[in-house]
This record gives sequence, C-alpha cells and structure tokens, in this order.
Amino acid sequence: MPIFAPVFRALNEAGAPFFVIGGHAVVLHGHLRNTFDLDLLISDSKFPLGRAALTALGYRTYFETNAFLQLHAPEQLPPLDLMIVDDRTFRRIEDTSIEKVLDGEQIRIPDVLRLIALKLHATRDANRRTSETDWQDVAALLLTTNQNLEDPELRAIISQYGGPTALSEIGKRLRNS
Amino acid sequence: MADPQPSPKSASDSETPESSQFLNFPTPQEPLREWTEQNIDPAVMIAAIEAVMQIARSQPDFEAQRLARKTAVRFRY
Repeated sequence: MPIFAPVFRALNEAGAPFFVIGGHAVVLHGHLRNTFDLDLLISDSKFPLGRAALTALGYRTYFETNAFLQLHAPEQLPPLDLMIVDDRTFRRIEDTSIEKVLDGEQIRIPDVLRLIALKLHATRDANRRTSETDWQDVAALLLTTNQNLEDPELRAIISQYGGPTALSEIGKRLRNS
Repeated sequence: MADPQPSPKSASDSETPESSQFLNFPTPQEPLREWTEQNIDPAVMIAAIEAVMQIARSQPDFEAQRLARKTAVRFRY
C-alpha cells in the first residue's frame, strides 16, 4: 500500500511543485537511516495551492509559522511538514535538483550541497533539541557522496549556513564515522 | 527434484547453528540494505513501517515532539 504517493500525487495535481527534503532526501542520497516524517519544501507562491491539496487529503494544521507548516496526518498518511521558502530560493534549489523515485512516484530532491545547506541551517536554531541528527546527516552526506572538504563552494556553504564553528563540528563527526 | 548435497566442510569452517542458517540473517559481508531488498517482501516492509508509524503517532505528545525538532528560522538561498 502506498504511503507517500497520495501526497505527491495531490500536490502535483494541484500544480504545487515541491522538493522532498529532510531524512528521506538523505536516504535518497544513499545514507540509510530511519525517518518517519515526510518533509517537503514548497515556494511562497504555490503554498496556498499545496495547503489546499493537503487539506483535501485530510491533513490538519498543528503549528504554523512563516517558515513552516506542521500538519497532523489522517490515518494511513505520513506525518508531514511543509518548509516554505521564497520563490527565488525555490528556483535556485530547483536549478541543481535531482530526480528520484520514492514510493513509485517521480519526485525531486535538492542536490547534496543544497541539502547540506538546509541541514546546516537547521543546526543554527538554538531552541531545537535535536540538531545532533542534522550534524550526523551532514557528515554522512559528505561521506556517502564523496565530497571534497577543500571544494570552495562546499566550504562557502558550510561557513554561510553553519557558521564559523561548523567545519570543526563536521570534522568531529567525520572522525567518529 | 533432488535435494542439493551439502557441501563438505573444511576443518577451518566454524560451526554455525542450524537456526541462523534457516533465518538467513545478514552477515557483515552482506550489507543490510541489499539483504533487506533481496529477502523481505516490499509489502511486508511497508506494513512494518505503517505499524511503527501507528505506534509512534499514538503517543499523546507526538506532534509536540515533532515540533521541537523544527527550526522557525526561514531558509534563504
């Protein structure tokens, strides 16, 4: 029985393009780890269409900010969060995104550098309790996709989205891997 | 069809319990992902995932725990 496919189909039929991010994107880049939530990224301009499509599937709002929408799932559908970004950000991620198949449906995920940027961005919220998972994901993505830490684009992303201590934090996880 | 003959054991073979051969558990030489794909029916795997999801969702603070993992800061690239 499909778990994620109804969500993907509903968004596509509504004309609300999205990227799969979070743990499922990490898995699709080749690092096998457990994840329950389905995290999707959607643009400001398509957010109303996406929200309406998900509401029609039975999802209900649990929490909402201008950065994300946490939805309470109906039976048989996965816990779901929508991360909302401006249209320019969405287009820039789209430029380098990768097509994959998840639950029998064609979906797109950010390429590894943009996914690392998203993960590092998540580590910088001091209020979050689980940033260790994001650090471990970053280290695993670097290893799984054979990234070169000397690559100038990668270093710029690490510095910009993870802050001045990010490189040493990543180094610690890489040494423990 | 005749049963396949057991292969002769060398002196260096270690004794393996019958039960572990029957269950065909993965070994370090056989990555877990490949073993899972080859040995577990996808329908069984999906049913297992659904069962775990149901248990997780039945926790009263499930959505609150999910919320604690989110960042409220908007991402820009």
